[in-house]
Amino acid sequence: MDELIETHPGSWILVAGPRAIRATMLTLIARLAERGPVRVLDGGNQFNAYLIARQLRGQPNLLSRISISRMFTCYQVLAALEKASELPMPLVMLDFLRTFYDESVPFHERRRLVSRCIPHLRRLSVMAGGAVSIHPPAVTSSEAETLFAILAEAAAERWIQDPPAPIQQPGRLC
Amino acid sequence: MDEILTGWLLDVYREETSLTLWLLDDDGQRRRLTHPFPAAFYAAGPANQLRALWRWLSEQEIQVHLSRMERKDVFQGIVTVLAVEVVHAPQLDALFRRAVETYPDLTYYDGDISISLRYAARFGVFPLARCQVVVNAERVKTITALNTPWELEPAPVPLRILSIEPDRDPAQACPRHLVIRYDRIRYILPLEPARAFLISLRSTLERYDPDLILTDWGDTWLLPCLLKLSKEYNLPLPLNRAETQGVIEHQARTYFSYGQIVYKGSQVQLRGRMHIDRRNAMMWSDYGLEGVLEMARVTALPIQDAARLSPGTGISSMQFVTALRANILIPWHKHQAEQPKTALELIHTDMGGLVYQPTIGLHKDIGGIDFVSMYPGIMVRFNISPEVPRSKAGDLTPATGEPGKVPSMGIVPQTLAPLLEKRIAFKTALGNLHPKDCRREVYKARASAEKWLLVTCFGYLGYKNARFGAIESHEAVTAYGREALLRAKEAAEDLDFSILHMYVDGLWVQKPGCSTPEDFQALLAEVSERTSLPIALDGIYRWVVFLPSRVDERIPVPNRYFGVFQDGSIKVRGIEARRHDTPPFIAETQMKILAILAKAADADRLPDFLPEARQYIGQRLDELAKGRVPLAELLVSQRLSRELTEYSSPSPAARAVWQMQAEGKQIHPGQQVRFLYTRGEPGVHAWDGTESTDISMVDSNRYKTLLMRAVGTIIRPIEQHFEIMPQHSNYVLFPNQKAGPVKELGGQMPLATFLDLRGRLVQLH
Repeated sequence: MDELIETHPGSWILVAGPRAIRATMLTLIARLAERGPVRVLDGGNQFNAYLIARQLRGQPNLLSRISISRMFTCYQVLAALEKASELPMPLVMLDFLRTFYDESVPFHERRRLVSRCIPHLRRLSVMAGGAVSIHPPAVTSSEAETLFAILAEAAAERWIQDPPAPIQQPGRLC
Repeated sequence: MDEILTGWLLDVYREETSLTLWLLDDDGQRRRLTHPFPAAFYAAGPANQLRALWRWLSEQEIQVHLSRMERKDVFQGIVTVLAVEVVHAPQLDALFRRAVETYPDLTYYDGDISISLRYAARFGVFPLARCQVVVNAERVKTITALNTPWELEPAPVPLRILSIEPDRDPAQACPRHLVIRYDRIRYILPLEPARAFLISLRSTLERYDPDLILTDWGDTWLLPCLLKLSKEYNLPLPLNRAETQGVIEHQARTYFSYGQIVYKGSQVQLRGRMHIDRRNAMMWSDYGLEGVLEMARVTALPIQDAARLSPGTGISSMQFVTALRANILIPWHKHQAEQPKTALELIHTDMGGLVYQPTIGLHKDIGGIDFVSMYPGIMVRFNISPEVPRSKAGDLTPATGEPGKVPSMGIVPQTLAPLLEKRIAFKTALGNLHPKDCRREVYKARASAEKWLLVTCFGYLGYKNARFGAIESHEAVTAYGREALLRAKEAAEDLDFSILHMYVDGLWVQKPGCSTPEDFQALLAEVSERTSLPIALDGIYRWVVFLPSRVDERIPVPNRYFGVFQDGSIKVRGIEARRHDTPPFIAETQMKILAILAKAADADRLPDFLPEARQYIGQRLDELAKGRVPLAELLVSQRLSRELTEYSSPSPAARAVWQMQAEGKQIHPGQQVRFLYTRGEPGVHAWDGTESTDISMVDSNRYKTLLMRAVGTIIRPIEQHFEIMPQHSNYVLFPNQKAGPVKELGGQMPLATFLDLRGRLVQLH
């Protein structure tokens, strides 16, 4: 999967799966940095510069090609996307939905914000393409599924890795 | 006719259209006053949307004054806003909610600030403030604070406090009676028959008319139970002093805070009186009522909130009051993401506090020196605030910002400065008070409340929902901290001290011949000079042991040590006795062993006390083997960290919860679970379940293993240092390795590392 994901100018791809796909996304960032500048927006505190440095194998100067900005609320995600200008570099958005799972924000508001983000994902991917990763929430909900559906609908391509089989709750032990 | 009152402000809350104040006047009367009071929120955005909002607001029933003005946004500078002044402040919430729903794309400010904070900011008052109030027919015309929250010894408030506690934990068994206490009176009130019980309690409430009702399990059991009984028997209870309002009930909830799942039980708040549930109050075991009242004074949060809300909310409230007074906009939602930086810059900036790994083993005559409230001190001294541009890293000079564009002091340091000053004043006063001075406990409690606010303020700078937080400011604080600690290290080395360990804001130093406080004064002065931060001698240890990793005893572990100061007091960090999940029997054993060793006048005499320690260990093992340890002393208490369905392999706590669920008891993530280790399956017994157990079921081997591990933590390094053969062969510190003297292993160079924001150790390059 790591080698297959490619960004294409004019569109963005959705990479969905368990937290383990973080490694795939970091590999993608390292690979993109080898080719040129790359912009990373991190919605889930997933960016790890040390892991990427290891993947860049003795080319620490390539770390300077990666521009990173972290967001901790869904409002910040939208604000960061709105503020970003179109540049000739691919966009990698890590754990896009993490902040949108925050139940302290009413669901209609989260849905509105996700919808407002989508045109910006498209805009920022025009020149060099983009990749957006998402993970399922800790506890699945219909709200999370709705948010996922909005994103999946808007993505040009979808890479979906199945989560591991759910764990069966043990029976009564006493 | 106007009347002038002086007294203490007890509470402020909103009613339908006005504000209600409770004043305890100098005649001892509890006065219920009202105060009409306007409050404002602001909106910014495209002009056409603001015009539409203006039109919409003009059509609403709620009375408002609208205007266009310029205000300061900490992140964006001066912005043009539509100011919406709601004539009756209590109506603001409803109007604001509707405006947000109708115009969701605008940026809003000051929309969700509680009315009590607005009032505090407007009139300079705070809970328990001495006030002068001019009233006319119980309606406030003016109110003036006669003191400030920063006084060390405010005039004592003659509060009437009624304490109610059930005879047992309601989660375990149904209580049979309540213990009632007030003034010098204490009596037992049986819960049955219910009618007689209610009549008697009502009589007490009417007769004593308390200002504050202190309970155990009042939020989660007692008050809900009283309300239910009162309704059932149609016997109203005057829990509220204000008859026009009902009791305020908040539901239980579970939430994430600083990476931990937290459970907050339901809450019951009163009007006209205050209710604090000691079992549901924040940090009650640490600072008690005195600390809660101090928290309320300095944060301006109502007392019932100050008791229940986190120090983070306290810091946030203080910042809101500062912002309101300075006419700075308070964003409803923070929109600013981190400024883009390169991955290389991220590595350089996102490093956390500096840690210099300890030299493993026993050391004597060690000076422990700490920067005084280092991170808040840095924020104040170096003016760290989101709106103040930073000077270059490594330069320990205060940031000033651009002339004419930012205040001389940013909103964050402006908020913290008086708090920091007060805490330092308390610490200084405590150092000068006689050990038997009755003010000591009060000062300690107040200083502790302030300590928690100051501890939190740094993390809060990086907290996602902090309105005046910024990750760059958070990183700047740690950058200054690292620089200060490095300068302290250089100062110590220039004065021929050896550094044994450094941990974020503290150093452990040693120099032959230095064993009195005077011997360290030159170092303290030098560090203070080089860093411009206050630093103090925490104490001189007769001896201290820095412990290795459990996995590999060649690897040191930061901040895991125990030692004895020259006055015989013990300090421990990171060992079993400090862990919340250690059974009391084991924690007590470990601390008692340390108390025995603390009798040694110096480190060289430690072997003389090992026989006594070993005898004590033998005694404790014997108690365990013979089943003489009370079950409550063996309880393990752990927090349920997730939903049961999310456990891939069930922890002992999860197994205990399954038992309780099978009995129909609900436990939520974040709640504490108490259990015993038992023999056979499932290996645990839920303490708060209904089934009983006895000592014969207890897995004594497991407790023995835990006990010997705790014993080994203390005894083994000392035996190794003096090359004494272990007397207990079953220490379980390093199950895979043979024991060997630390001296052979401890020659490695300490590694300098950083703790990054996620708590990982990162080696210094």
